[in-house]
Amino acid sequence: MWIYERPEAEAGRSFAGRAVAPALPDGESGKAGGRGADVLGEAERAGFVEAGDLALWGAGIDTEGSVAILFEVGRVCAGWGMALHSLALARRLSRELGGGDVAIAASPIAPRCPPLEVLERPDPSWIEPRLEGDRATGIFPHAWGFPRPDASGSDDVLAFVRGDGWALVRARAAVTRDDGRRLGLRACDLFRVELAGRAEVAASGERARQLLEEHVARLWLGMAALAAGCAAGAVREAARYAAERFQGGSAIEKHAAVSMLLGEARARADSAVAALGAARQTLVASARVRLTATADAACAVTRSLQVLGGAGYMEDFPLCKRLRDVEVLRISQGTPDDLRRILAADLARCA
Amino acid sequence: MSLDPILAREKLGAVARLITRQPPASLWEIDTSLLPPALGAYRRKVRDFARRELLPRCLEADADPDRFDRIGLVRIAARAGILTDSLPRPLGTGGAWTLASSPLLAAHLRMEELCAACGGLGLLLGANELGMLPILLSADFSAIRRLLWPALQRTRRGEPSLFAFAITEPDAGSDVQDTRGARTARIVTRARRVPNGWRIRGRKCFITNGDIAERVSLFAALEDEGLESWTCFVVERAQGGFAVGRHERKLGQRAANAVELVLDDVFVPDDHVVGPLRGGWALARATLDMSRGPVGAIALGIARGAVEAALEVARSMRVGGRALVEHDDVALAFADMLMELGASRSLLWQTAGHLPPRAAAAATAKAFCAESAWRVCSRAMEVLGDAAIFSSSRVEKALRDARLNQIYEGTDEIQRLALLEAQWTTDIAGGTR
Ligand SMILES: Cc1cc2nc3c(=O)[nH]c(=O)nc-3n(C[C@H](O)[C@H](O)[C@H](O)COP(=O)(O)OP(=O)(O)OC[C@H]3O[C@@H](n4cnc5c(N)ncnc54)[C@H](O)[C@@H]3O)c2cc1C
Repeated sequence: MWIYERPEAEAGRSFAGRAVAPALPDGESGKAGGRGADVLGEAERAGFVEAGDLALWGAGIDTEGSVAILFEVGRVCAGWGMALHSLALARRLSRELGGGDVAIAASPIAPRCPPLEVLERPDPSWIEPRLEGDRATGIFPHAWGFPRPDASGSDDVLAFVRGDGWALVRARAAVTRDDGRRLGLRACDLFRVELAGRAEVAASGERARQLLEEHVARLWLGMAALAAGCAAGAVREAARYAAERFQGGSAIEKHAAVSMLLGEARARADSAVAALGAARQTLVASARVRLTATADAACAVTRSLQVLGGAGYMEDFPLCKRLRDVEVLRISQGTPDDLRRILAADLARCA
Repeated sequence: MSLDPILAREKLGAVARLITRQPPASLWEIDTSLLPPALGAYRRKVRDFARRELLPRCLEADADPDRFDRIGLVRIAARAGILTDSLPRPLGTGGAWTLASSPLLAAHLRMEELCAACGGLGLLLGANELGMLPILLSADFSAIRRLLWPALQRTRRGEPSLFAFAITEPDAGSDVQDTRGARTARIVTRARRVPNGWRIRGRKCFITNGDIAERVSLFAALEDEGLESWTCFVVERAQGGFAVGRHERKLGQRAANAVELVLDDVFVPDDHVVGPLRGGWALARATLDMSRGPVGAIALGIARGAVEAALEVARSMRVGGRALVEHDDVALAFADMLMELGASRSLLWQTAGHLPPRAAAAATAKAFCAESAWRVCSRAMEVLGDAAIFSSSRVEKALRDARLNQIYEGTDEIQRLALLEAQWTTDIAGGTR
């Protein structure tokens, strides 16, 4: 079964149509227009909320269902998808630890993700945020989060830090939102999270490591799903344009060059969707899914953009935004080389 | 015994040392050493200008192109001779030896160096040349004297008078760049005969610098005729009926505006017709053959700028206890990028050797460099991860800038058709079939 044939996909589609499409960010400024509350309200109506919390990632909706929903949201706007996904990840973690109103979960995998052995046992040269006694200190320079009205302040966060092994702490952190002037995912907020004070240890040792692995795996699977959705939307828009645009004596879809672009774009978008079928909440499986799905999705989007010619390069047409979004989904929170390194290290162990 | 390949050479005899020597030098210096001295000096001059004047302005111009003082920068470039150095004195400011060595290679070098600093500002300065090309290529000396000479003199004095180039129309983009498409092109811009001149009605779109150019080399069909009647007219911005329409919001190369031009019975006097009536198609194609190489150089420059910027960050950013660049996978990624740059530059410099330019070579270089630049910029982004996604990163900007090169001046697909059109009926290696 394709991921978009799952029943959750239907709910995702109608949610995206009702809540996300009207809240699309303006391409130039990136402002999502303070529509966060509306989007969350619609998420509740769509049945994505259970006991007051987003129920993705096993908190009511299983892995495949979550992937299907994010895929459908990604078709409309990957930025809002990332916002919803980030919030769901934070809620999922906080539920696991017995609840609490936490909207940001920070893990030290940006700007580059450390190698497998460091994800298993944190090493001070890679992982700066640390726990000493009951104090957590350190900076997470890039943490995605649901749009919030205020640009900066302090907030309760969950953060993976280096203690004796890994520790997951709940702490009050200084949170600064970027100005939204970045390549893509502009509907989502990106925070700099700074820990510099008392922290409550929510999990430590092997349990914290396990939680980190699951958290990162979910993060990557969701990003893969959003990229695949973004690509599927791009291919559809390109096909529509190709049927309507007339050059060279016919609709451009009739030209070999354009059908090669569309054919390749479709194959890559489908392949990204197919990869989602293997989504599992483990580091290695999610690295594989994300590496291939985002590469395929990026290829599908850039080819789709090419079909629009000059119009593809203009922010008033949707392909521009898709290209910006998919590139961020490909490189943020672990780059393709980081994922390759993890896959190779795992292979070496299995050999 | 040292295994360092440079030190190991010390063991060789004096002559062997001489013929195998490789003194340390930057890649830029190594490439420059291949050029005739005048072109080498020119490359250095443009690089220094671009680093001094474009690089510090590139992020500001990209972030807020509407507020950015484009005319101010154009003035600086004009005073430095950058806008007129493709032409020899007294017409322009080009050095005799530079232009005698190879005017086309000089144009390639200029665009690479300007765009290594900033693709958008490079385009802002480079598009003027594109606008002048149909007039120059017409070899219509009276048109050159009437239309170009006064503008060039003003520009040389630092009061720039810019040209733009306008062929694209809302329903005819690729069709005005491709022979087969041209046969069925749906063009709307037409010229009607009136006493002492022509009246032009129609629309052009996506015209670079169309909002600041004083004159536009604009191609229009004659009334009731098809594209084979295309004629090049120099349209003065100050003429009644000439209006700038929609300003596009572009993904990149934002420092140079792309705008719509609306022509509502604009009067063009007879002496503003360039070349013969119905000679426009030939002039437009010749212009594209001449400009596609330098547009390939824009792509190369943008890609090089991305690599330079990424390297700067990778040298200062510490990851896993070392500078990012010291990680083997990162170093390998830079090797990939440098190989791409080398391949593009070799192709471009070879292409620039053809004067007059060859359509197939220009199309090949343009498409190859554009696709390569996209690969390079994507790779540069990958290396830096989240650190690259902000608009304050020149790598992010280069990625957005680079994507345009696969589209303007003929899409990658149209370049392939141009290559086939020019060479498909000949044997690849000559001789008998
Ligand atoms: C930022 C920018 C600046 C520009 N500056 C200028 C300028 O200064 N002056 C100017 O005149 N123009 C300018 N252009 C226009 C540019 O040259 C055209 O956008 C380009 O030629 C493509 O035309 P189009 O946008 O109409 O795309 P289309 O022609 O509609 O192409 C759409 C798709 O169809 C494909 N296609 C079309 N016809 C064929 C065919 N016959 N066979 C196979 N495939 C085909 C194309 O490859 C493309 O993938 C600029 C464009 C941009 C985006």
